[in-house]
Amino acid sequence: MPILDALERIDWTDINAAARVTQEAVRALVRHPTELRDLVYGVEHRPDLLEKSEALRLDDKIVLYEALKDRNFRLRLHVSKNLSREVPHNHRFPVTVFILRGVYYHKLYVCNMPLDEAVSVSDMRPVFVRDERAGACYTMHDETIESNMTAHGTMSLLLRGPTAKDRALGMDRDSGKVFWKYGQQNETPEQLAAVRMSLDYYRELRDRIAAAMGWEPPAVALPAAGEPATAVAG
Amino acid sequence: MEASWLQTGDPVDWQDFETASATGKEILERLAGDRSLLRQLTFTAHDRDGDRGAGAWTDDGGEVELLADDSMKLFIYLHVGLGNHDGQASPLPASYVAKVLTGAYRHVWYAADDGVAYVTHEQPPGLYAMRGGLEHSISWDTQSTALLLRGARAVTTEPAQLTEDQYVALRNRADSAGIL
Repeated sequence: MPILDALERIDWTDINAAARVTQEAVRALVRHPTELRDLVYGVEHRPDLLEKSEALRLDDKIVLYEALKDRNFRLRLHVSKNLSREVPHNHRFPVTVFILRGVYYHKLYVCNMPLDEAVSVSDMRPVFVRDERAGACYTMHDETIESNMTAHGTMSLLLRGPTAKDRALGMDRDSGKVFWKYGQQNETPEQLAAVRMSLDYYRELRDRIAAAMGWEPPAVALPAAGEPATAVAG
Repeated sequence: MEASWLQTGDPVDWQDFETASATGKEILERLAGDRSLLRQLTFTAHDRDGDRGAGAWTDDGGEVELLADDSMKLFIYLHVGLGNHDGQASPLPASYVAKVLTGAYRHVWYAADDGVAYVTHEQPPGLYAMRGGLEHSISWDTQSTALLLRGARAVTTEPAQLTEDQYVALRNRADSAGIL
C-alpha cells in the first residue's frame, strides 16, 4: 500500500506524537523516491490538487496529497524562489517539514505580546536559530513563530494538519510591515486567481523538480483518481 | 599547547544572541572539518596543565572540554552519547551553539503554556543555536556525538573534572564513531 494511503488519522493535539508519526511517514516517502515522484507527476491528472496549488511570490506550492477531511493531513511540495526575506510568521495549522534539497536558514521566535494588530517586529525575540539542510525534519505547533530564509531552489515537503485558526500572522522584519494570511475559503476570487497555478506552470515546475531530483518520468501514465493506469506509447 | 585559529579574531559576542549564533556556527562548522585540530584537542584534553580533563558526566553521556578561553568567550565541548537518554523538560541554563556530528538528538521546545511548540530529530549536518532560558528537553542515544560552543564554562558534575576512566570512555566512543 502506498505510504500515505496507509497513514491513519493524525491527532495533532499531541504534537509530540504527531511529530513521531508524520516525520516517520515523510522520511519513508523520501526513502521511496518513485512514490514521491509519482505523487508529483500525478497532479497532472488531479485538477482538485492543482486547484489548491499556488504560485506565490516567495515560493511555489504543489499539493501532492489531500486527506485533510478524513485523516487530518495534506502534503505539499514547496519550491523556493530567489526572493528571501526574514518574515516571522505563524501558521493556521500545525506542520511537519522535511527539507529535500537546499537549506532553510530557520529562526524560531518568542513573542510575549498577543499576536494582533498591535504586535511589532521588536516584540519578536529569536530563540532558536537553525540551518535546516537536506534531510532535516521538524514539526511545529500552529502558534510557533518562525522565519525561513532560503537558498534559491530549496525544496521541502510540508505535511500540514487541520486548520486551527482563520488567519496567521506575518511580518517583514526589515520594514516592520505586519500582514495576515487567510485560507482559500476566505480569499476573494481575484486573490485566488492571482496565485492559482496553471497547468502549464505546473508542468514547467514539475520538470525542473524532476531534473533537480534526477527523476525520469513514470513509464506508466498515472491515472486520475479511480481510473486504471495505462502504458505510455513509444 | 600553541594557539590555533580558534583563538584568533574577536571574542564571541554572547550579548547578542543572533551574532553569537552566526559566529558560533562558523566556528563549529570549521572545527568539524578540521579533523587534525579536533583530534588534537580531544586527545590532549586530559593532559592540559592546570586544567585536567574538565567536562561533564552522566551515566548515559558526557562532555569533554576541548577548549576554554575566557578572553575569547570560547568554551567548546565534545558531547558523546553513551546510552539512551530520554530528556526531561527544563529551562536551558545558557545559550549555546551545536553541530551534530553523528547519530541524532531529539529536541522538544515547550511554549509558555507548557504545550509543545517544536519537535526536531536533529541529525548531521545539523547546526543550530538555542537561547538560554528556553524550556526544552533533549534526548540522544549511543550513536550521538556533537560539538557544542558555550559562552561560559559548563560544569555539571562535582568535582568538575572527568576521571581518567570517564574521559577514556568518552574519547573512545567518539573515536569509534569515526569523528576523530
